[in-house]
Amino acid sequence: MKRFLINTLKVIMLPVIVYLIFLVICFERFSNWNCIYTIFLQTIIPTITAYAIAYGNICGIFDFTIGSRLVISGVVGGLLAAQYGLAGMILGAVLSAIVVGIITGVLNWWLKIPSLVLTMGLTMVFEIIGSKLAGHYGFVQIDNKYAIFGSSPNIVIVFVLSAALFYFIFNRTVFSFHMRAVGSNEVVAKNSGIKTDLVKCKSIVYGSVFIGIAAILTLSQSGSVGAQTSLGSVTIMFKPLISILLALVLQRICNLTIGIFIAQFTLNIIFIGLIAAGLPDTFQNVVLGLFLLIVMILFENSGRIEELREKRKVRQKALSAS
Amino acid sequence: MKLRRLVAIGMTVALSATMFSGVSVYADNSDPEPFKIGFPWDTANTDPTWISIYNNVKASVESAGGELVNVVTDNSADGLIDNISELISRDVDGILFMPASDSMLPAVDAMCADAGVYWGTMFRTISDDDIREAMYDSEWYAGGCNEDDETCASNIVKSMADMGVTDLGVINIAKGDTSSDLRDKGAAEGAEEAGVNILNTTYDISVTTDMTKTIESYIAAYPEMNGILVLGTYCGGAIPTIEKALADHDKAGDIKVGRIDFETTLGDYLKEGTFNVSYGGQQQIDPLVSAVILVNKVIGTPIVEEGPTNIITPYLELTTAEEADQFNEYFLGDDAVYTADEIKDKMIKFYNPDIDMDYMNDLISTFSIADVVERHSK
Amino acid sequence: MENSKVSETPKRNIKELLINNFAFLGLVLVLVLFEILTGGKLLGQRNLMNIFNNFFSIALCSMMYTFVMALGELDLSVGAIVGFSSAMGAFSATISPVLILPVALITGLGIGFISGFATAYLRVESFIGTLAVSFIFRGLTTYYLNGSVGIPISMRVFDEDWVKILTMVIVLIISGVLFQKCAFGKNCRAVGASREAARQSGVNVERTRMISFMLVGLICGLIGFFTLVRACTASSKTGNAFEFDVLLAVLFGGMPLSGGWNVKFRAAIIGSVAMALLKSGMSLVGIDGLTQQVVQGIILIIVVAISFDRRSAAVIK
Repeated sequence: MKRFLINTLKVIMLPVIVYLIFLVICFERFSNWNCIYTIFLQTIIPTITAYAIAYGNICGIFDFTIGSRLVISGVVGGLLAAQYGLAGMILGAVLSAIVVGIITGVLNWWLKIPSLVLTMGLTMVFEIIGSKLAGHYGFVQIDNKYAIFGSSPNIVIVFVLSAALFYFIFNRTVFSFHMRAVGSNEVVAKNSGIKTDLVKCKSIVYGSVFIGIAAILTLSQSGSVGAQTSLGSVTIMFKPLISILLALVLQRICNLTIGIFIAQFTLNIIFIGLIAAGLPDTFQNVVLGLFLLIVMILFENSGRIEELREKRKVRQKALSAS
Repeated sequence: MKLRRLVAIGMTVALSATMFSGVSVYADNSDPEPFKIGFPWDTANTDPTWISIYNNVKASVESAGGELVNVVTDNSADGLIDNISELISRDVDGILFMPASDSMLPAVDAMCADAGVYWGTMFRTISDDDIREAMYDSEWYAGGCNEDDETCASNIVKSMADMGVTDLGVINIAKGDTSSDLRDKGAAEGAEEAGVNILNTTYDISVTTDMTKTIESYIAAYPEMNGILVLGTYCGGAIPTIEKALADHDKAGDIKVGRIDFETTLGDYLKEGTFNVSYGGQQQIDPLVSAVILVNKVIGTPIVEEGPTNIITPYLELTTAEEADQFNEYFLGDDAVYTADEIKDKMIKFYNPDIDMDYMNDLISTFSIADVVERHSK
Repeated sequence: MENSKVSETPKRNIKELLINNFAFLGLVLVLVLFEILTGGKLLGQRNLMNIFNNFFSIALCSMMYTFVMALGELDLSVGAIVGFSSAMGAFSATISPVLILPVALITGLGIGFISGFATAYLRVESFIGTLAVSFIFRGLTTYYLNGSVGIPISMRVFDEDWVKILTMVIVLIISGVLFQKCAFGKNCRAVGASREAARQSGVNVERTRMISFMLVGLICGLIGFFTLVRACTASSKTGNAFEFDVLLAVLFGGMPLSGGWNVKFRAAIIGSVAMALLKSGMSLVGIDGLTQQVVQGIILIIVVAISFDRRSAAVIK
């Protein structure tokens, strides 16, 4: 229990420290409850998108199609909302996400080519499907009465349920063990009787459920989803992907479900912080890149740092003894 | 293995089908000597404004019996230079494009002069004095049509100030683009004159989620903000996204919203009273007239005998939902704002020798939504 | 029984030969197809130079990218390096245009060093490290340029065809020899095949990895220079999505992502040429942008699906 509390405190320290930095820089603009609440709300969709990416990522699959699948799902959801209302939007978004996910997963299984290549090619195709579906205006818009998941408390409820679902699939199912086995060593996993191709396919399809949820929330929060072409959809996944990488760093002290949220929350503090500080938005990328690089360097070298600390301790002991 | 082969064969068949479905067939006309106009444009973009730009340029070129040759571009300076090189290699007689910056123009002029190809610009003026002077001296620069971005931005800020806006959050297209820079400059001037405080400017938003995030961040970080101005954006559905974010924070109607360049959804929000002002409407007439200027030059009947032809279109103001609906129907439909026959009669000097600068300026000054509706309503 | 084995062997050999050279055959197929469809315009003299201009930057980068691919690594920062070195080159022109080339090269090399150091010595995964570097330098480019910066039009003299052809030949020879004949190229492939085995056989793994990224940085600096002298302007969009173009080119050429001994230098050339021919051919035929994208996507999958060597890959990620 004590360890859990210490770890929780450690995890929370990350966003708290970043928040305090910006609080010092721009106290007036950053010291209001609305600011924190907005950061929280903005964290939800990228967190769920990151959940979608996490399944494939853990299996070692690199998936460029996430953004394009999210667009297709959002567009189909939006189109069906106009026809069948809320039910149309929900079913349309989730089912289309699953269908496109199955296509991706099955092609990955059958073709047996590197996922990076396959998903890059598929993204080019999916983007065009998305833009064709979006029709004349290049985007679909929903009636505000169907946007019930876009604001609090509904968006928070959906988020909590999604996080619970993610946690359950990711930690409490046989599939999750298989997924981790495939991710850590596919050859060993295969030799132990795990159907690795099926697991990889499943990981893409399971992730698709979260893509569907993210699409529904995007439609509900933004009121519209626009088509992307020329690999423009790829950029949608970069920030959620960064939160997964940071969450993997935090994994030693907290579960991935919470880690992804905390990492995304921290990234959003930086985003709003820079705006509040009146800095040009171009700084976002610079800070984001530096932040990612520093965290990854610290993570990858934690063993070395620990070693250095130990050496210093030994040296100090030796010095004090002499 | 068989399955993989089947999938590969299936994909090959799909590929062949899609390839041939994309082949376009151009009309074959006569009168002036046959000519070809090269046009780098992103035909992969499905935004109706982008499609209408292509349609308007096509109408101008075909009005004089020309052929429009399109190459796909990303509209960056280096991309456009490659496109121009490609179009020259395809024996075009003139090239029309939207410059990414002033500083790329000397290179374009040098390439076109070497190849003996006329070139024209659309949407963008030449802000840099030295470059403008050099280009105006070039015999290969036909000229172009643009809106007065700076004045437009300045006036829209003042107009918003008249509505009571004092603190403004701004959205704009990427820096480095001539229009973006001029609109920034104009907005700053307008803000200074009207005593408006520009809180922050965010550039180059391309997806709705980023638009929502930016607006929500503005609301959170700047509680005093009472106006949002979109100086420009390539994000589809920008206004619905902004309106949705404002509504979710109970700010719809309280925070005034303005936008340069019309988009398809403005009517709904004008009706609701949550959208306040839009200047624009030149996205169709600018490229059309720019193409007309180039076509006249290429077929040997330039509108202005000495030097390039430069026409500035006045911006239109969208004030009612009805106008917005008419804009969607008549500006963003399949037809150009002047049909090929109308262009032939009214804008091609080969057929109408009365055409000169005064004539063109008079014609452009009568251009409005009502004018297009009157000409094209059945 | 024996006879059937004997008759199967040449068949299998032909099949293997076809599969191994599928990327090359694909290139020939694209060439013939579009040459027919365009009525001979594709390989017309003027269009040939146009194709060369289209593939010049991508081919230059792909050649050096081969070293990074041989290591089994990726570099997602190439577009950002081109953009930033082009911007720095443009700034240096305000002092003297003579500085453009050295400044662009040093900038590229410097960023390559950062990526290489982070990857090799600080153990950051190349995909993540170069993505972070890309974010940083893309942001810095936009911030410092604050719009666009032009250079004297006289610098277009470096955009002459002969200069670029000569550059291409020099880079081709240097990178080809370095990859095929020198210890460095072999070390790269050895590290890609097995880092530990390479280390055991005396290869300085970290230095090899770092130098590979520096080579990519250096060539991106050179591309930044050529991009700058071609358009005579540096803007925040310079080098945008270049990383995808290069990645597509090497994958089109059939380059394996796993690195190691299967990485062939020719894949970089074949892929770059094939992509340029494909784009030019589709444009000449009058295929619209949307269809072009679908065609590229499907061709990429088909090429890799047929040419990918599944037997030598224990695991396909």
